Amino acid sequence: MRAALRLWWALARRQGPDRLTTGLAVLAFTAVTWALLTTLGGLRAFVDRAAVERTEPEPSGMAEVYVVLAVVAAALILVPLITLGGAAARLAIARRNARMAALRLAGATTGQVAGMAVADALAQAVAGALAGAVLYGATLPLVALLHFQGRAFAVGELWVGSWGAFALPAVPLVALVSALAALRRVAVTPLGVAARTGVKPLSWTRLLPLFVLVGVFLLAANGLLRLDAIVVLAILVASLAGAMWVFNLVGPWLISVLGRVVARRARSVPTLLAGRRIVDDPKAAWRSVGGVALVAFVAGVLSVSPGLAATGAEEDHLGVDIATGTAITLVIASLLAAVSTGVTQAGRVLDHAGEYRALHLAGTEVATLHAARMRETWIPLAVCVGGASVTALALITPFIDVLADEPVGVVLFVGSVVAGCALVLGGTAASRRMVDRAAGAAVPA
Amino acid sequence: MTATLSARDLRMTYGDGPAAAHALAGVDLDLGAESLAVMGPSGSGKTTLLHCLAGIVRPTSGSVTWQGQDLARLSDARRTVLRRSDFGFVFQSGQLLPELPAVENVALPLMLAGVDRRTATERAARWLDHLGLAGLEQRRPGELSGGQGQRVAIARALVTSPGVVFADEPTGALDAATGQEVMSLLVRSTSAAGAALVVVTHDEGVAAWCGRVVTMGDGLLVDDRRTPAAAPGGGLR
Repeated sequence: MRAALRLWWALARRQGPDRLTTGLAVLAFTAVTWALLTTLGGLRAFVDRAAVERTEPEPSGMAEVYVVLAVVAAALILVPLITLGGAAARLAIARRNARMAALRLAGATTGQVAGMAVADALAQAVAGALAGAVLYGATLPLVALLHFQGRAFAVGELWVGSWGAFALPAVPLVALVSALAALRRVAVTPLGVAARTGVKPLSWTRLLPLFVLVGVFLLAANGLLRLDAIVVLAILVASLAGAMWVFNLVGPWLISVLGRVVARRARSVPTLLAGRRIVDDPKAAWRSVGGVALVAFVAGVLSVSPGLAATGAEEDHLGVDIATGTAITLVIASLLAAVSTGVTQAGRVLDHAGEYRALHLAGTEVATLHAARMRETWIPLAVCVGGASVTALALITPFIDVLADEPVGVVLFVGSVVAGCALVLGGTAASRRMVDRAAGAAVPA
Repeated sequence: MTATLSARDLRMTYGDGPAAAHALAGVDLDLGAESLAVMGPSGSGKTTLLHCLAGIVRPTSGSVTWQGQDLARLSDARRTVLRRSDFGFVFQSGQLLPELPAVENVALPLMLAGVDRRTATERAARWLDHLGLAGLEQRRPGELSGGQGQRVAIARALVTSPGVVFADEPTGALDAATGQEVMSLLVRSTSAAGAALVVVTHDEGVAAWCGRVVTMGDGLLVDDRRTPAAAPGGGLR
């Protein structure tokens, strides 16, 4: 393995055309680390404020509520964080096909090639983690401008401190696990990296855990009131974790159904391509929109909180703070989704550069290729985020009077949904020039 | 459509100054309704000639006339539309979209030209049937053999009833026997469809399928000969 590492180091310094994918993967790990540290720093600030409040003569207990809400927000961001970390690691592995095959042809064993690929992913994750940590430090003064509990943060409050020692290694760890998982799905032979033939459709059985979860929750809810508070909390946390898991099981299945409907009903080439690509990889489409949809739903429901919590008292900030917090969570989740979409799309363009080129040579306008890529993102985005937002707003219609009196929550919600969608679409648009380049690769003049 | 593609004093230079490379150094060529093989060693200008004839690149100087218009003077957008409507292309590999089933890959140029999806799919299915791929319409490129994939590519090249089909090493990724099958099908189908065929190849066996063989060397045509090639068969519209 030492020989493999030496060879990896020699190759790592001569990347050539792989430099772009390396840059993208490092960028993704940077975003993951920044979001992780910023979220943890925020959580720590609320924990510290609660600790200070407990020393007061008559603690109100409100600070504890903020800690619980910050934990929930961090949990909501965790899913898109891990997803993006995984996507970045897959990018690090998948784009090395030609090199891995050439190394096998030159006599490297499968283990040596795998070792080099994992070293690639790990090195990028470490570089991204360091860059993310620097970015986190640089943006602390900006984050500190946010007002919670009626006052801005001090920069020191948002310092992640010793928690960072646990959080930073988590990024390369996620990369390592994802890289190993990605390697299991390919066979590296001297003649090339085995291509996927055929797509196994996602089974409807993915829906079963949803029914099980709902059933268990209903049964548990009946007995909840008779249980100890700690047991109730444990059940609620387990339900939340289960809901996240089920959400990520059901989401891709729903997206694949959506893709099939879009492909079947498509009348134009861009829509047909978009539908087929969604069916081809519903999990990738879900990675782009799932996290944003989840947070959009939560933010939509909580947008009513400023109105409900308004008591007229000057000190009562909880309602507005909840709306602000969910809006921030939504924007961070969207930012992560945007990077995830950008990374996935960039990887796909690199993968299919040959087909793009051949299509363009045969008379397909590059605009058609761009339109297909944008539809591939905005159709699931509109359906999932739009659906989640509309459902959330439908749930809060009984409080329409409250909303009329205190519209700040809804304004924040709508604003963050629009910003979130713009970010995700921007993630797709970012690889536009790569498509231009791929399509025109054989056209030097 | 009767092919009348003419190139006059075609020159293509990459780079400038002492490092300039002359891929084409003054080529004259007339193409009728025939099959033409372009041969020559690597770097002789074969693929550049194909790209200029098909309007993929603008030559540095000279003209390429197709149906009375000089491709070298058309805008990029106009040449793109023309490639789609008047020409068909078969490459060595990597031309089929992996996420689309075979029938949709073939229907693609028709849909791009504005034909409604149902009509486009029906015509595509007829072409697949004609090329011996009945029953494989819903297979995706990854589920087809190399030879089957090239047949899908031939169907896609011919589905728009083009005037000229351009093929760049169409059998380069196939074994000898499958390559012969594919060439036979390409030559017969193109001829039956009334289209001209331009095949760039370094393989004598492939060139033997064409009625005319030109050889290139250092950016010039150095040989132009007729061969007794046979291209019987039936076409489809």
